[in-house]
Amino acid sequence: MHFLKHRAARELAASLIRVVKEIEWTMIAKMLQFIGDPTNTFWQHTIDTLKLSIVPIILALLIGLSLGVLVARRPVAAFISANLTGLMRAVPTLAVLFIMILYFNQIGFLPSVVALTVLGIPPILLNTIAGLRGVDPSAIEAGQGMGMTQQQVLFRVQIPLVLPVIAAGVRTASVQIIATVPIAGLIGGGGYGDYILAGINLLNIPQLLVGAVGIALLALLAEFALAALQRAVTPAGLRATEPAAIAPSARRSPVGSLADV
Amino acid sequence: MATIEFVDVTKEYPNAKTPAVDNVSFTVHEGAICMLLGTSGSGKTTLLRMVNRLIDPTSGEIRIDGVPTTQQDPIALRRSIGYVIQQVGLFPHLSIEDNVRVVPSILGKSAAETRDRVDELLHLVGLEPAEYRKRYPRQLSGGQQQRVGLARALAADPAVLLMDEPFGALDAITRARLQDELLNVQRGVRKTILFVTHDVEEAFKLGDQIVVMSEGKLVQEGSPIELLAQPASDFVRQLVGADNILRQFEYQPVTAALEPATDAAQERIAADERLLPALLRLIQMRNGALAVVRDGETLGQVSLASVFASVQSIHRNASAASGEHNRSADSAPVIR
Amino acid sequence: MSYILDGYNWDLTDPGSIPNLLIAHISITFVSVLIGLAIAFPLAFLVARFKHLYLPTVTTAGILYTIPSLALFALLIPFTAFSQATVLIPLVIYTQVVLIRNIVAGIRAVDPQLVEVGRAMGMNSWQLQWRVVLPLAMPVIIAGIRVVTVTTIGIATLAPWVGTEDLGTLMYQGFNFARSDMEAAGTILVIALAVAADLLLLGVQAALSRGQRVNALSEA
Ligand SMILES: Nc1ncnc2c1ncn2[C@@H]1O[C@H](COP(=O)(O)OP(=O)(O)OP(=O)(O)O)[C@@H](O)[C@H]1O
Ligand SMILES: [Mg+2]
Repeated sequence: MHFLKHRAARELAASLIRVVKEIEWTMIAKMLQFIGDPTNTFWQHTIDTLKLSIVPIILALLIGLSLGVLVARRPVAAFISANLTGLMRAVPTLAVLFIMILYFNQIGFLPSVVALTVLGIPPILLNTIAGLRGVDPSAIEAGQGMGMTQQQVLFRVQIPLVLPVIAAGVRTASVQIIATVPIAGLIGGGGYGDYILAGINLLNIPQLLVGAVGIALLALLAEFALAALQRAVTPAGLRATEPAAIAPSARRSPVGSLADV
Repeated sequence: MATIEFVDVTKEYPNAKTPAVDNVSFTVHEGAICMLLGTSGSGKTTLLRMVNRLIDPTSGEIRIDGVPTTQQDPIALRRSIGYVIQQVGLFPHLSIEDNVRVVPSILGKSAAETRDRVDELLHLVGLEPAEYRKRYPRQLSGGQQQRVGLARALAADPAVLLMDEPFGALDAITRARLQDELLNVQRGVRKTILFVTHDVEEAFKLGDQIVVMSEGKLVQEGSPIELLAQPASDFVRQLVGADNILRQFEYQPVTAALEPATDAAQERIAADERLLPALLRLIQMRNGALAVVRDGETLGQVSLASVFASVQSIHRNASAASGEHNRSADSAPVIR
Repeated sequence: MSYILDGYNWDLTDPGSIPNLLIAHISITFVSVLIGLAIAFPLAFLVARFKHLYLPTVTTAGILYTIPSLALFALLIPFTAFSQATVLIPLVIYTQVVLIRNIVAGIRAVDPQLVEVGRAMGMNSWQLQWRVVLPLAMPVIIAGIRVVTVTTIGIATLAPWVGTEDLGTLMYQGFNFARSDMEAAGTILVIALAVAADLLLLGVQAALSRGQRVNALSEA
């Protein structure tokens, strides 16, 4: 750690001064210049990034949701899938990407999308199961007791109670996927990851920062938008005042928030 | 051993309209069990927690052996006072052994040093050390947990024991057993015990002294018999069941029905016996009388007639007292 | 598999050999989690006491956590270049939200009555934290450490892209030289490490929860 304390601290101080001097307008100007240069195909990269984010989110949603609905009422299947997906979360993101490269024996968009989808499924699946199983049977019974039809029970009792939990899962999955998009860039997935990779290799700081800032902004935007969505679909009575901690038994809480990304 | 004096003790919680404890004074003598009796919210717990300074009084002071508690370091004070609560509060992460030796260990004693003491204490509260030492609290029943709670409170051999409804959560049979056990333990250790309860039976069974509290005020203080014989207000009369003849028989000593000895006395009875066993014996004997003796000396005798007469007189006193105090229960004179 | 089994790759004198990369990966993880704990513990005890600080602290940590790891590495390059700090700073930052939340939740879940009992027995505030609060909060805290450790192992695989060698190096070089045996070796080793750490800490968690599954207070 000595190494860190001395060299890193000195480096940090020196580069801080350097960067603060430099960064002011010149860096932003350089970044804007980079974006404006048509040879850098900024819009293509942006579209690729969005494609790389949205396609897996939708796929993960479809798969996670239908799988969740399928197993939620089957205790054994639910147990198995919950534990399998829980275990899968221990697998590092980059490892998932490399498994896909090795499996498809190719790099680029396809293995990236599959890997990102695989990463997005667990939170949605787990929360769908938790949400569906968590609906208090007495609430359903109370609905039926009041003379609601099957459909009314579904739309007025079950869905309002389950939706927030699923929304939390979607939020977790989306932020997780977006966070992995630049990593997919490392294996030729395209998008802003390309800028970061090339920026590092060529030590082209403006290029690197365009990629990093771009993807960071996208992730934060998604986080805030989906947090708002989650809040919107949560009935007032169920709104927690603060995020719950990760329970010792479940490695991650079923209702995810920032920390479950 | 220690004497505890409460001197004009008042506690006002912030934002409360009335004080939780209002100008309370009384003394608990060395080695006595003092029962704090009162309805919910009457300030019993508050009074108790001021003794070990979990709360400090707004005014007045509490002296232990003449030394005001506020002049003592709260940490040192608490280590010298045992504390037992209804919820037991055993530490779930510690074994029974480690729970019992918490106070010695925060005082810096090692496990080896306290091993024998732990065994002794577990024996004392009726738990076989070999069987229970290594268990965890959740592996014990509620009654067993409370036994451990008592052992833990006794671990550093404190002169004072504070007990806040310790048996309140137990079933009637277990509670009775633990009450007997406490009396048993107390015979050996002679602590000065302050014991909170709202169970009158418990107060009468365990108490050398009973302090009746209502709305933060001390309503009456005295021995169980004093409370029965001369309740200071309707509130106390109802609380202690002074009108209950059976209770009178249960708690009045035979000396309350003493008459001069005659030849009719066929058997002897000790002077500290209660009226109830005397009465049962007299009924069995189909009349006659029992000689009341103390240290081999005959004080007099009791007969069915004298027993009835004594109870009737107590009743007359009671009715008279209730007539007197009907107007204002609060202004009842405090009997000391 | 062939790469892992090849004795040539186990040469301890070669800094790029499997055991050396494994040790590097473990030490990066260990140092990050340790620094993370050193920061999170005082912070958590602080915000557990001053409740109004909790939400801002956790929200800030959460926002930082949302920044994609590669982006954060990249953002640091202008400042810390290709030093180890570029890897360690983000790894430490990412530990904070989970650690702080779990430590605080662990502290808050401690039955106040047990703290009160400790106080009544004459524990000073240090003894109270050390003997009552911390052990009772431990299972939840370890759960947090477990999540954080596994996450850190995963993110640390990106370190070679910003100049620090660890198991990710096998993936990085395998990819650059189109050597799928190296890629596979890196992938397998990193998954094995993550799963091993997960199970190890699960064991610690179970050992620490001993005697504690049911709260004595609610049972009495
Ligand atoms: N920490 C506190 N803050 C404010 N008021 C309190 C506090 N603790 C107790 N009180 C109030 O003080 C009064 C006496 O409470 P206390 O707990 O001493 O009663 P108690 O006689 O022990 O009752 P119980 O038999 O129900 O245990 C009550 O009115 C209660 O609401
Ligand atoms: Mg009370």
